[in-house]
This record gives sequence, structure tokens and C-alpha cells, in this order.
Amino acid sequence: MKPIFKAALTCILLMLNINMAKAELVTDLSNRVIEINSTFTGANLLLFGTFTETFDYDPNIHDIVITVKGPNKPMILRKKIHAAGIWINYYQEHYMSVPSYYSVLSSRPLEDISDKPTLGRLGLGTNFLYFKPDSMKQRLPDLQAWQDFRNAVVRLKKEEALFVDHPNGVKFVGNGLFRANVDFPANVDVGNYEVSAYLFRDGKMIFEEHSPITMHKYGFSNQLSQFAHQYPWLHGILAVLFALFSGWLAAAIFKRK
Amino acid sequence: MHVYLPIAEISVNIWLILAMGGGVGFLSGMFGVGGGFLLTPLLIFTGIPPIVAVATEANQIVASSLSGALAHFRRRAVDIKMGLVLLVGGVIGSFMGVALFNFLKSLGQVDLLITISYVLFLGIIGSLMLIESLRAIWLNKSGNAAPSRRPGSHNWIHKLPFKMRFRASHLYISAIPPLIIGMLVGILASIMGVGGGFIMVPAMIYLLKMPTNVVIGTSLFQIIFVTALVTILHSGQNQTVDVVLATTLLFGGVIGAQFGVRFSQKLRPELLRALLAGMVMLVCIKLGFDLVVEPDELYQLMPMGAEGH
Repeated sequence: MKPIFKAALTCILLMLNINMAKAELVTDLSNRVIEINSTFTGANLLLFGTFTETFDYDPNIHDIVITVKGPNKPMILRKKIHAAGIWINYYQEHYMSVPSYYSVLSSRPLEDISDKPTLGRLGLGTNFLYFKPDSMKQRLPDLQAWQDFRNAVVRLKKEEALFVDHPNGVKFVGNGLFRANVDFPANVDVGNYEVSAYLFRDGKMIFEEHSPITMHKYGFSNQLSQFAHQYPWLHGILAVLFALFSGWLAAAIFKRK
Repeated sequence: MHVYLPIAEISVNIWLILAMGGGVGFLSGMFGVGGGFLLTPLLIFTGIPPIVAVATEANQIVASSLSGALAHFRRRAVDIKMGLVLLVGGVIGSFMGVALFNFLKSLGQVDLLITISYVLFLGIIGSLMLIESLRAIWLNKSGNAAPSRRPGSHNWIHKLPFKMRFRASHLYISAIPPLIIGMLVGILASIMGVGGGFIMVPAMIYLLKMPTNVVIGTSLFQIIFVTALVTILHSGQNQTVDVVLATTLLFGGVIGAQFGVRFSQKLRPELLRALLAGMVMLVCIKLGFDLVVEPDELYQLMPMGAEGH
């Protein structure tokens, strides 16, 4: 397996200045944190990687796929129908877990790299992501609707830039060195993410490596949002007190007569 | 300049929000209305999730109604006892409203509830105001003074039990009508994010026959507490109160109101009412239009348990 190809596919997270030259060092990333300021438009992460010296890289047969996957969340998708003259939510599907962020970057379009069964088995690419529905709450009429709903999840996530397919996102910069740029929009969820790197040879996945990273947000508006979700009642009371103070202040400033 | 709203979870142009707060504040100052019934739909048009718009508006009205009420307190133009009876009804109504809100939220129909409530109320209020003000304008033009209606001093309301004496209003009436009015306002506050003055003030004048000088102060008194309760309930149960948004709106609103008060003295009152009625109808039509026309996006994806984020 691994020793045969000696394929130590490595990622160096330049941003964090960590050199993961060997697969064994992957766990070093486990407590690594990406900090983004939620007030700004987002953040990006630069991934660098190379092969070990003994690995014989051939661009014609080798391909690299990198995925970044965020915390899974239960989601509801609803669809409107036209009823009694207005558009109302009618169909719905409960998904047990949908990654709140997923981006896949590859050295070539995924369908050129491998066949559908392999991609499906690995869950590579937004076309092959599977969201487990809550079987207790299923209400969709048929398989077609089920497929439409699943595609709608992907489409809506893509519109928010929370799902990204980057068919040429892994770029070789010479000497077997490659890099990939991952963009995170401002509305990414905090929590645990997984960076995975896959090495393909002739359409077969020959090496994979996973390393955890943590998404962290800082800044005033993020603190406020965390507080509102952790202590919702206290937040409500403070919001009222603050409003009373602002109202009093406004009256005091503009007191006329 | 864009600012990220932590609860609404979208970036908005801060000048747009200030302008909206200022514009509605201007109208509030001009017409002496709260403006929540215009601001909540405007927030929804901006792309703020309706449930965040409603809860945040309630929070903003706490501030704007307090600053308005303080002047009435100083003039002692508040019937505290009547305010408290209205408030008891308001508290009951708020709990009922939030319960209905959360029930429909769990069914995925809360946006529909909010929109339909708005179309209904804006439609009724807007058309009544429009008819009334156009008639006044027409009567003025034709030279006849509008007949000042003097409502009869006794009606069915005076036959109800549980009578209470309201000294500041010079009234001895049953507590049931103010309780029901307060309750209705509480329901509206929790579903629509409005103070409810546009319902309460006419009800106090025409149904309870309260003297006009204490009506505004008393209604503001009740609104402060009801919207405060609604804010806490929405924050506690739905986490939808966006303080950054509320404060930005308030800032624009306070300034706008100052200009509105001054400007209003230059326009004839019935013309002002016709203008406001026109705006109310426009917002109503836009909301109704959005319900009827096929939306660009039929699907809506939400986190489970915290729909609307």
C-alpha cells in the first residue's frame, strides 16, 4: 500500500507555517486554527504541497484532489408550490447532516480524473455528496423530487459560495510543487473542518491524507452572535436595556421647547 | 460601507439601513406614527429574513417609543392605570402571538404569516386612511368644513361588567375592552414587529372614548413594555434580535424624526394623511405582489431547529 508508492503527498499550510513533510505528521494540524474576522468579506487559505523526493511524479497519470469540508449540520429544505393563488412552502425534506462548507479542488476536472463509482464512493465533488435524509420525516412524492431536492441543496449552497467546485484549483508551479487556494466566505460556520488530499494514479486513488483544522471567528459582531445564541434570554434582556438607554439618550439629546 | 449583521447573517450597506431608518423616522415625526409597520416590510425587501426583521423591529420600537413617551410623561399626559390594563392584555397577547409564530415557524409557514398579516393590515388601514383623507381634501376644496364627529357618550361598551375607574381619562368603563385591545396589540407586536399604535390609538379614541390628550402617551406607555417583552421572547426562543441592525435603524430614525416634526408643520394635515396612506398602500401592494408572482427561487434551505438563519 503506502510503502509501494512511497507516495507521501504533502500539504504545507503556508498560512500556518507548518511543514507536513511526512504523512505521520498529519495530526500536528489537529489543534490548528483559522481565524477570520466575520466583519470582512471572508478569508482564504493557501495550501502548498509536494511529493517526496523518491516519488516519480508523472503529470499524465497522476492527479491530485483536495477537499475542505466543514461541520455537518441538520438542515431543512422547503419548496414552494402555487396554491390558492399564492406561493407557499409545501414540500420539505429534513437532512440529518449537510456539510456547512465544502470545497473541492483538483488538478483536472473530476470526471477526467476518475470514474463515477470511485468518485461516488469517496464522495468527491458536489455531484457526489450524499446528504442523509431523515427517513422518519420524508414527505417527498417520488425519486425525481428527491433528486431535485438534493440538487437544490447543492445549488443554494453554491450560490452562497459555501460549496465550491474548483476543477482546476490545484495548480502545479514546477518541480512537483503544487498549490491550491481555498476561499471561505464571511458566513462560514465556526467549528471543525477537515482538509483531505487524494492522490490518483490512472483513475485509482492510491493515497489519501486527512488533517483537521478549526475555523474560528473573532471580532465584535461574532462575539455578539455567539452571545445571542449561547445566552438567548440574557441577550434579550440586555437588548431591551440597551434600547431603553438609547431611547432615553435620544430624547435627552433632542429635548426641545 | 458594508456592515455584517451578526444575527441576520448578511452584509448590508450601512447607509441604506440608515436611510431607511431616517426615512421612516421622518414619516414618524411628520405623522406621529410609530413606523414599525413600514420599517419591517422595508427590511424584508432588503433581504433580511422576515423573522429577524420582526424581532429586531420590536427591539427598535422599545427605544423609539420610550423617547417619544418621555415627553408625554413630562406633561403627565399618560393614563397609567389604563396603560396597565392595556399592558396586562398586551402580555397575554404577546405570549399568544409568539406561540402562534413559533408553531407556524415549525411548519415552515411563518414568513407567510408575516406577509399575509401585513398585506391584510396595511390594506385595511391604508385604504381607510386614503378614503378619509381624500374626503377631507375634497370637502376642504368644496369649501365645507369636515364635520367634526362627536361620538355618542354611551354605547354597548358601557354595558360590560368589571367596571373600573380611570381618573386620568375621566372614564368609568369595563376593563374588558382595554384588555382585548391590549391583547390584539400584543399579538400584532409579536407577529409583525409593530408597536400597534395604528390600531390602539383609534380604538382608544373611538371605542373607549378616551380624551385625545392622554391617548398617545398611554399607548406609547403600553408599547414600551409590550415590545420589550416581545423582544425578550423572540431573542430567548428564536435568537432573532439583531442589536446592530436595531441600533443602526434607531440612529437614522431619531435624526429623521426631528426633521419630520419640523416639516410636518408646513403641510396640511389631510394632505399628510393622504401621503402616508399612499405609502402604506404601496408597501401593501408590493408585499401582495411578491406573494402572487412566482418567486425566482422556489427552494429555501435552513438549519433545523433555528429556521430562518
